[in-house]
Formats: sequence, C-alpha cells, structure tokens
Amino acid sequence: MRDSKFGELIKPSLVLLIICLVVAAALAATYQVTAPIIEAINIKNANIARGVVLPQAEGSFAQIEADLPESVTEIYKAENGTGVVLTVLDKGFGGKLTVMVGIDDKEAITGVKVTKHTETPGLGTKAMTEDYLSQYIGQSAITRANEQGETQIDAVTGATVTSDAVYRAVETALAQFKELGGAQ
Amino acid sequence: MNKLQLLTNGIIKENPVLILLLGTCPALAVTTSAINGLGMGVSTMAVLISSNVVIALLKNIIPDKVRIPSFIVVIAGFVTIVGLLLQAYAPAINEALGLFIPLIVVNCIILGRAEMFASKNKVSDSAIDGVGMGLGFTFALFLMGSIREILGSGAWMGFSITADLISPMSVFMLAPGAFFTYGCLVALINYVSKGRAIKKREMGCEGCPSAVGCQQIGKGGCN
Amino acid sequence: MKEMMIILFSAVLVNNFVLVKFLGICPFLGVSKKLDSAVGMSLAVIFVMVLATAVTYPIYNGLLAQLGLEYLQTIVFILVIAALVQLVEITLKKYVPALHKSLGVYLPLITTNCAVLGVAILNINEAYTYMQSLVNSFGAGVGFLLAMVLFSGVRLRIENNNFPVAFKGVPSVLVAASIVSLSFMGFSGVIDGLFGI
Repeated sequence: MRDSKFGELIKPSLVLLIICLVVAAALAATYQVTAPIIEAINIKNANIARGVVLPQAEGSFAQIEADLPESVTEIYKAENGTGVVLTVLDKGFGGKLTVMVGIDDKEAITGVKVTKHTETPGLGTKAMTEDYLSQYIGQSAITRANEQGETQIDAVTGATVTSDAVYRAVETALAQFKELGGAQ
Repeated sequence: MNKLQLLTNGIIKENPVLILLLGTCPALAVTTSAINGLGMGVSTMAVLISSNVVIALLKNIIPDKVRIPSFIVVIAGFVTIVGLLLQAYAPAINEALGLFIPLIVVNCIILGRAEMFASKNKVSDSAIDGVGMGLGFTFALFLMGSIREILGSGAWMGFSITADLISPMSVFMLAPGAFFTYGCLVALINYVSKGRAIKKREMGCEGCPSAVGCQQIGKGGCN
Repeated sequence: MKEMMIILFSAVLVNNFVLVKFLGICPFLGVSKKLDSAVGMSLAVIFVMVLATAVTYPIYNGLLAQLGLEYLQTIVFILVIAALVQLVEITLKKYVPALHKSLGVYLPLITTNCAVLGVAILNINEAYTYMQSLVNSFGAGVGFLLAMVLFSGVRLRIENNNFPVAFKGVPSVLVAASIVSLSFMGFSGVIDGLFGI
C-alpha cells in the first residue's frame, strides 16, 4: 500500500522538484557568466549611441543627477566638458518615442537620434533618417517651417506626427539644457 | 527510418511552418527581415536540439504524471539560457526579436517534438530530429523574412537591391504583409504539390501546443 | 483615469494582440470557425490573462526582482500560469459545472498560449503599475475577443466561396486575416483623436 502511494504521488513530485532544481542551478550558472558581459555591452552601447550625437566627447560620459521633468529621462555630460546628451521621451503616432539630443558647450545641437520607437515602418520612420535629423545640427533655437526665422525645420511628408514628436523632443531638450545652465 | 531520412524529414516533407503549419506566431511576427528570421530560427533550433536530447535522456526517469510540466521546465530552462547568451553575445538580434525570445517556450514545435518524438526515441535520433526540424523552421523563417524584406524595404540582408529606384511596398513589413506572405507561400506549396503536401485543411487543435493535454482532440478538435 | 483609458484602448485597437502583435495566432486561426466557440475561447482568454497578470506581477516585483532573480522570469511565469489554469479548471468543474461546460473546454488550450505568457511578460517590460497591468491585460483579452468575433464573421462568408484550388483552406484564411489586419491599421493614431494628446 505504501509503495503504491509512493509511486503515485511522492515520486512524480520528487522528480519534478529535482528537475526544477537542476534547471534553476544551470540558469544561475549561465547568469553568473553572462551578467557582467551583458552589463558591459549595455554601457558600451549607450555610450556609443551618445557618442553619435556628441562626437566631441570621444565616448566617455558621466550621468548628471538632477530633478528632471517627466519627459526627460537621462542627462549625461561629456567627461571632457564638450557638451551634454539628453534623452527625451515624446509621443509619436504609434506610441512612445525616445530621442537622444547632443548639445555642445556653445549651445548648438551636435546631433539628434531616435533610439526607440513604435512608428509605422516606411512612413513614420522617414522622420528618423539622416536627411531629416541633420536639419537640427548646428541650431541652438528651432522654429517650425511655417513660422518666421532662420532656424526652420521642415516636417516630413507622410510622417507629420512623427516629425512633430521629434521636433517637440528637441525643443524639450533645448529648454532643459538652458535650465541646466550650459554644458558644465 | 534511417538517419538521413530523419534529417531531411523536418526540412522538406514535414517542414514545421510550411507543411505542418506550426509555430505560426514567431513565423509571422519576427520575419520583417531575413536576418531576424535567421536569428529566430537558429535560437529556436538551439532550444529544440537541447530539449530533445535532454528529454530523450530523461524519458525513463520522468513519471508519466508530471511529464508535461517536466518538459516545460526543461524547455523554459533552455530558452532562458539561449536568451541570456543572445543578450551577451548577439545584442542586436536580441533587441530585434524582443518578446519573442521568452515566447520560444510556448512554441508549438518544441513541446510537440518533445512529446511526439523525443519521449519515445533514442537520444541520437532525437538530436537528429531536432536538427532537421530546427533547420526546416529556420529555412521557412529565412524565406519569409527574405520575401518580406525584399518587397517591403527593397533590401536583402540589409543591403539595398533596388537602389531606391522603386519605392518599396512597406505594407509587407507590417502585419497584413506577414499574413499575406504566409498565405501565398502555403498556396504555392499546395499548387506545386497539387494539394498533396498539406494534408491539413484546417488549422485545428494539432496546431496548439497543449493539444496533447486537450480532451477535445478526440472529438475532432475545438472547432 | 485618462491614462487607464489610453492603455485600455491602445491594447484593444492600436496594439491588438492578434492582428498587430501576432500573439495567439494558433487559436485565432484554429477556433475562429464558429462564432460561439470563438466567443467562449475569448472569454476564457480574458479571464486567464487578467488572472495570470494578477498573480505573476506580484511574484515578479515582490519576489524575483527583490532577490535579483529576474532571469528566472520565463520559467516561473510559465509554471505559475500552467498551475493557475489547472486550478481554475478544477474549481470550475467542482463548483460551477455549467460554466465549466461552456468555458472549461478551452482552458487547457490556453495554458501554453503565447498571448497569456506574452501579456504577463509585456506588463513587466513596459514597467506598468499593478493597476495598469491589470487594465492592459484586460484590454489585450478584449482585443483578442474583438479579433476573434470579427474574424469568425469573415470566415463564415469565405467558407463556401470558389477559390483557385491552391488557395482553398488555410491560404484563403490567411489572406482574409491579412485583410482584417489591414483594417486594424486604420486604428493607429485613433488614441490621439480620442483623448486629444
């Protein structure tokens, strides 16, 4: 009687438990090996992305701790004092849009890059091309195409909502930069 | 069945995606480019081979009662390991596949092969079956990815082939294009084999990973 | 409140789980042949999605994240969901046999449905709060229901049509799904119109 009970209930649970423990141990071991590599890659990739919008910084950045509005998620400054990189969130056509903006010590934009988005491929993504984003480079104040001023930014046909979102994100970045009081 | 037949079986005659119509979720979702299809295919193949081997090894130890939970634990373990390895060594692929990496765990093909093949066969045969099925899955995803990338963005493996002369049909990169491409591929196979290859007239219960535990299957599925 | 509505509507329409995110394709193509089974399956999916989120969210944030065991997410979630579905089935069978008869048959199908695991993982990835996660899961389930009901109507119409031989059966269903999913693309951007942001 006891034997059949053992066979029916305890043995299956025991086997399942052992399998769970072995698998968990294997996972823990893999995690121990890969965790430092993953972290290094994340830091490296983030620095590479920041380096694209602020090439002068030569790839080394330090995070600035400050009270930030909801739309600004991170601010990093170049270790050599050549500028800052701001990460700004805005709303595009399909959802959240993450934009990285580099601004140098002369208050001019050095680069704009959309790092994360859910826009329609082929339409919204037109507002993420070099052609569109390079309009921002060198500007320190921006106005829309239908307004007066020398720093006009043209929206992309077929990607109006997305280009507007990028525009607003850059505006936010410039405002936050001023509040920060420059690149230092 | 000899070893070679076992291998080619999964690639052509019983191709999991194109003939058996399994694993449709990843096949539709990640095939926006050839390289993504390839990445997903190889990741799934790695999980499939490892889980097939381990389950074939353990088939006499695992009691029947906890068979399915044990299989799921083993598969989930390998999926997590593959996910961690991708994060560490192929971060670009990991970023592109996103949510569908952990979801390999519920891919019908893997649990299906564990239940139907690995739990009844020798370790070596199970490994070969995993390789064959994995290659078939990879091939199908690569093919769909290539078609969608060429039509949808005028490029292949990231290289532009239309030189911007023709404006690509971006709808092929989106959800409707995925369904359409898949439908046409299945129709093509139907046409070439004169309707003999694809026996299934319906997407029924066999397509679902829990078919093994489903009481409805005897009654002709849940339709 | 507005934020909740935005999450709900985008889960139902804009980011429809089946037609835009490709989660739960198997039941979508397999069980959508008849309207009543489509509705039954979808109701079971809504229930399990919300329940799964209600249980997995505290497990992740209260246990796994605290202990630095985030990498166990997949394995823990799938086991919890499988156990949960079993539990629900047994409970229904014992106490509400009528409900079990209409919904119970779909429950085992859902255990390893990628939509359920998908929504549980997505809620963690999106860093939603507990309430937001529940709303998102409910929305995802309703989106599934919507897609199933609409598609079962479409299938009824195409059932007896005269296709080229090669397109009969599965290919015709897939092409029809493509057109239905095309119509859902019209919803992207609808959130802006509805909530004025």
